[in-house]
Amino acid sequence: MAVKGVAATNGGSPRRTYASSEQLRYARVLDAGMRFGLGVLVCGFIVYVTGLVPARVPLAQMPELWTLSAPEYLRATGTPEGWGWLGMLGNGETLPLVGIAILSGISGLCFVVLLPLYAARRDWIYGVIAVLEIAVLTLAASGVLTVGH
Amino acid sequence: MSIHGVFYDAVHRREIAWQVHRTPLGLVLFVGIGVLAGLFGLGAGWANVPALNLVMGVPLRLSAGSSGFILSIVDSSAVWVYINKGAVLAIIAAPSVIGMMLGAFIGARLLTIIKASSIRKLVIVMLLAAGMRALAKGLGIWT
Repeated sequence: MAVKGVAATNGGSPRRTYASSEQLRYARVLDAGMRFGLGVLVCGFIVYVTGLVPARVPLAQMPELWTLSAPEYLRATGTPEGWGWLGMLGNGETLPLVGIAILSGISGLCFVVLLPLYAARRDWIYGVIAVLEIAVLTLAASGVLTVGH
Repeated sequence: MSIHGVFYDAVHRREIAWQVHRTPLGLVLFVGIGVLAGLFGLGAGWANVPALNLVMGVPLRLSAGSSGFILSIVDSSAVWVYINKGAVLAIIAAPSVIGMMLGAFIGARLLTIIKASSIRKLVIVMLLAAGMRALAKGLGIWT
């Protein structure tokens, strides 16, 4: 990535930008997505802890449950695996997951918006790297990959 | 891959040209870091900064920023796996994410105004502390 400074102006005074156009595009999408995701997360968490939307698993019961392994926790609370959590958005404890999911998805979106730039520039090496990053993030989000406990 | 550029050092008020060296060796190192991180469940930030700075010749500020960028992508993948396994507890995860993001805002701004030598000392202290904690845990002194 040959990063070159780009002359720019700011309110009439000359200013030098040290980031490349793809870095700036990535940063703009990341910044907007991060602010949106953080806002959704904060709102979801406030709604959860204040009880505005009732939780399926009471807050007071959580200390007994968070020492369990993931499979035991799922069995004890009847929580679905995979994307099943989207069907439980009426529960307080599921709402913060929306913000976390948005924050986790932003990196993939950032790479997607870079693709036209790399294609126009015929920068195949970075284009392939971006496609691979998108593939890995999509694979992770698909629920195909699993972890131990 | 000709990875190079110029950044502005706000502390010394001058432009600094940088060039990445030993990219193939860096790639091998990052594969090793990834394997270790996956095996032991460690965050990879402890190893990213020294690999980028000491091996690949990336300036320290850029190494710290690049390490954060690497972690954001790697951790994004990991989070999806955990969400799909139902292993994310909102009551723990939400305040942790909010707190760390606010901390990261502050850290990223401090990074541009703190001297590189001070950052280097902080990195060494943090690595020493993390290493001693891991050793103490391994020996059963700190559980």
